[in-house]
Amino acid sequence: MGPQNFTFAADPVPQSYGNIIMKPEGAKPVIFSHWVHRLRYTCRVCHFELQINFKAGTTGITMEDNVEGKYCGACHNGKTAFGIEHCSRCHNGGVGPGKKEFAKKTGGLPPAIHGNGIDWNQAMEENLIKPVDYLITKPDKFQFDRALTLKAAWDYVPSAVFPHKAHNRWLDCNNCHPDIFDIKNRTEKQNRMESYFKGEFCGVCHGKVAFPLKDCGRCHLGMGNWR
Amino acid sequence: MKKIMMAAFAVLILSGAAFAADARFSGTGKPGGAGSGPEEREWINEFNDVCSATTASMALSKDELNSHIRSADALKGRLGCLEDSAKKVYSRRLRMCHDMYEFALDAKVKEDKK
Repeated sequence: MGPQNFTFAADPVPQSYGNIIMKPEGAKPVIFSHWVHRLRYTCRVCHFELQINFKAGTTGITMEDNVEGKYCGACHNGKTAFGIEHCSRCHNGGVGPGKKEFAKKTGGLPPAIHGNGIDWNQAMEENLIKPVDYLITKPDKFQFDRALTLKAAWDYVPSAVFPHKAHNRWLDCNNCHPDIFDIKNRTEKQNRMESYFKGEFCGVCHGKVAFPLKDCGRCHLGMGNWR
Repeated sequence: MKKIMMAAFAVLILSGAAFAADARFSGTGKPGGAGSGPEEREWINEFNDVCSATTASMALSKDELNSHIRSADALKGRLGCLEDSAKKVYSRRLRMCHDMYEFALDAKVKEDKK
């Protein structure tokens, strides 16, 4: 199997990329829009400090937790963000922000071909957005920026480059290590494109929230994009 | 009469909601729900000391990493006494921090062997 055999899903409209719909029992479905939140907070805040799992619907968030100031309730308390008493703003049946709101809030950010159509990393690098990276405890300054070169399985595909620095703008080291990438278990053997399509390794984020896998050239430098 | 009854009902509902909101927002003290009592402050301070260094874990020495691992182990039992919501959040994060330091330590040991 080679990259010519890969099939990619069609791009959703930019404002829906990264939207998650959760279906709690006995209540209307909840919409969670990643782009709305990442304009203000890094992934680290929710997926590390607040301990919301990467896989949607697996954290077991209850309204009691939110009332206690955990999970969504850490910000949605009527002070930092609208309070959880405004039920229908999240439990709205799964309707995300529309095209107009998206254009208003993201206008002027550097473009990308796929996903939200925004190069979020460049936006942060150019200080066009300044998402907060902690709520509770200021993390120590990140000091590891080694770029890894990962040889592709096929000779005609350029190696992928993994920049730690670009990822640590958004994430804590702990988000990936050791749960997703663990040198102890020699997981690099399974670290292949096929696994990403199943939502493993890089596929935990890329293809769901971070730029999709069809944006080949962003990792395999020098390679074109799948259009 | 009907209007008066409706108004009284509305006042009752609103005061109930205000009471509930007050209880809700004064109960936890800070985002994430860490309490404000001396005992809680003590564990949350220790927790923050242990878990704030994960972003710099590759820059820590082996001794520092071992020290964080020991601190995380020591703190683990104390989190068991927290109420459910706090236990759920902090225990998992502590486990992640612990594993991160072990991961960094393994990486350093491997690098030294090369």
